[in-house]
Amino acid sequence: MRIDEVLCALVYRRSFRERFRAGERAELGIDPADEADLADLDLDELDRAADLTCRALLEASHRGVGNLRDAFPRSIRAYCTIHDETDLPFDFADSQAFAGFGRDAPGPPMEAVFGDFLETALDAPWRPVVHEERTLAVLRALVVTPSPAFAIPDWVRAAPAGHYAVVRGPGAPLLVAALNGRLVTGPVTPLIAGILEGDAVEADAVRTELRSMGLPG
Amino acid sequence: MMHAGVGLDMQWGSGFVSGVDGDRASDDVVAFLLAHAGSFRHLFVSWQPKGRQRLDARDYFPAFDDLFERLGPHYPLRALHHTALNLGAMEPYERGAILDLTCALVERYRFAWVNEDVGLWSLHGKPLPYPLPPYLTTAGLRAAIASTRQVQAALPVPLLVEFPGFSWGMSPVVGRMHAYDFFRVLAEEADVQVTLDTGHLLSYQWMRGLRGEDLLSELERLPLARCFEIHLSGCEVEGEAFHDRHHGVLLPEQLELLRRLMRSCPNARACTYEDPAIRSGGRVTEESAPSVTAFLGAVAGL
Repeated sequence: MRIDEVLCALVYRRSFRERFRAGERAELGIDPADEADLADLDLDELDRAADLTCRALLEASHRGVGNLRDAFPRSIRAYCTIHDETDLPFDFADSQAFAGFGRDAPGPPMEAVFGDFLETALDAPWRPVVHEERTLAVLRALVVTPSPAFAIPDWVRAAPAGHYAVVRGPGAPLLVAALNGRLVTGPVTPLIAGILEGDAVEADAVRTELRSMGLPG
Repeated sequence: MMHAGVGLDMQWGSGFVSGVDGDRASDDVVAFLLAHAGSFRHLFVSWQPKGRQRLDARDYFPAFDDLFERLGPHYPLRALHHTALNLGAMEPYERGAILDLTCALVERYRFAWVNEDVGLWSLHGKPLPYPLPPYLTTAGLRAAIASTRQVQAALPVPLLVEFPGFSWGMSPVVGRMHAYDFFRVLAEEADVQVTLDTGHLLSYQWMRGLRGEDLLSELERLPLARCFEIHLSGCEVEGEAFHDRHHGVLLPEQLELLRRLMRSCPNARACTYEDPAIRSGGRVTEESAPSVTAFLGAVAGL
């Protein structure tokens, strides 16, 4: 590991920090040549910086969406039934999902990455809730940011008037769309959901109706 | 001749606001600037990203246009404080789009200089709530020199590199180089002018355990002849913690350091009071008002 990669891991990954503090430098892949430059690192100050930084991942607000706590209330409540809430920022920052954030530009938005983390952290029955909150968050971001610097996730589809996604769950499919600067959301029939997801369905009347809404028909 | 100026962190939602009639500067900020136009000659505004859209300078024009139109002929000298150049980064960092945007803002608003703290404003693309100190290592210094040269070559105006902060809570330091030496060599090798922030300098010496008169020591290790601008932003000591609060209230040590730097920096021309605590109507808070007076007095040599 280069020394900048070491600092990045120390700041965001609690598990790496704990092993570093325990002296497992070689096991972590730290170059012995960098030992001297890491020798005087104030580990208490590192903990404070890591604490601030990881908490800020959940608290930082984005236009049109708010922060991650605002965007994922039900998923976070579910997380807190099986984990200590105080661990959430650190578990997220130390997760496989977050490890790739920022690696490639453009990459997915933080809301999508947080959703991926929650999907892994929660039991299967909660996945529709995570998908719904993740979809609402990303589409809300697209309402105010129609040409984003982030990469639009592949589960979001382009429409003539913006973007949309269909959330599948135990109930009716849910359409979430950012169309002409507005968030449009509501249940749709399985037939319409199928059409929106590209199914080949002969339904001329439905297609005409969808086109009138600015959606692909 | 030293001039007093003011610097404002123009966060979206407070410094700049968006409404149904578009983007504009907040009324409180404009009221403050107009009320103090007789005291401050120059103004810097900090660039803050408006959102997560692809970088396009045109997204920023309405708000900046509104600010400078309302200021009229006041603040004839204007500058841009950057927050996205990430001069301390060692990893590859794409600056093409942000430099294009910066050049467009410099051209449109005739900013006289651009500055940024030499620090880590993100880590491998991951966000940081406050910048971290640069890597005080040989490789870190090489990276900072290369980045500074790259940015300066792309800008049509001087880039002033600013000595970074070492505040309590966000200063895990990698490397054993003295930060004053790191900064001096960076300025010399990249051949740029610098900004010396009194709170940042004090925070470094405080972090090293120095107290009292020793906080003001070792100034000769800094690139004093390259200093064009001196910053003062509100700082606070809380127990053993030094905080760069930006809350408008200056420490007596900052004012003393300002006086010494004014004597020691032969090419310093701009002295900037950063982030005044502005309340409704553009007035400064009662707590920070004495600091404004003391700052202006110190710059005037009183």
